[in-house]
Amino acid sequence: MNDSVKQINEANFNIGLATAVITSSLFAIAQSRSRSRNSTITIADNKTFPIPEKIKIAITTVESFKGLPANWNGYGANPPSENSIRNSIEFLLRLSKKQRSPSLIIPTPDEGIVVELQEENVRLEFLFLPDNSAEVSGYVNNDMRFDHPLTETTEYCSLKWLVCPDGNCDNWE
Amino acid sequence: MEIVTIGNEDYLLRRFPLGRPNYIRQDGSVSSFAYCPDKEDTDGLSVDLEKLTNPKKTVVDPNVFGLLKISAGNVRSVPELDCNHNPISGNDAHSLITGNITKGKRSKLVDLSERIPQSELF
Repeated sequence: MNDSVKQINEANFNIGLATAVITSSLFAIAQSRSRSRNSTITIADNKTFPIPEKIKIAITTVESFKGLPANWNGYGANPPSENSIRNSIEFLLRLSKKQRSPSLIIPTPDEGIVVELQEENVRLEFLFLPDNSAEVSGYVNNDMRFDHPLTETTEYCSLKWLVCPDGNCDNWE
Repeated sequence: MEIVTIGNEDYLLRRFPLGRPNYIRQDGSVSSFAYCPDKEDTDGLSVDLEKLTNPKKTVVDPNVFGLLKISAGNVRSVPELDCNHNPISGNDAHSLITGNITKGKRSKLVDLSERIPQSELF
């Protein structure tokens, strides 16, 4: 993969913003979703999608972090906060709509949760923090290329950056 | 315990979880959150000075933790980071990586670290 096409800048995000506006709102989907007990997510227009098995497993993993003991990292860390758990699960449900699944899910020492997605040498880290904030960082070969607060726009653009680096993919979602 | 000088050739050790949770990716790399401070780490990030301990002691439980090793010189090669000996009760080797450990710097620290093989920790 050519690193040069993985550069991300404000122009990418502006293009993404326009696209995001004319695309179904992922956040609206999340807010209006009703998660059935095990297997589907219902979005605003009442379309129902099955939750992929990998996402179900990911959600189970996140929920399991509630039971982590104090000092789980050997340096005195506490388990992730309720906010971090809730927001990361909502993000996973949004991901399921895009047919994407995480490559790594871990708690952080500051009571957050990280959800990573990786394609070859390119990686996204979505960090959900106890204060209800969230951030997204992009890496190529472990070099950080961007770090933004997570918003509808940055979520959309970063996912597109990961899977469609040249911006010319049809139906990348 | 007398404070010792940490030379650039000295090594620092840092635990990371590898049971549940597991900080190791499928490709074998370790998440940079291994170098993430917690709320209590206001003075710096806890590490052990290798010359005052040994990996088996620092890892505590090799069934639950792995160990990263980084030279003090490599820590100091990351802009605005330094390391100092900071002995505490029960751990004479305790030291701190000081400075603002941002996401980008955590990533550098992991790149500059080597993982001690798990087989050497039992």
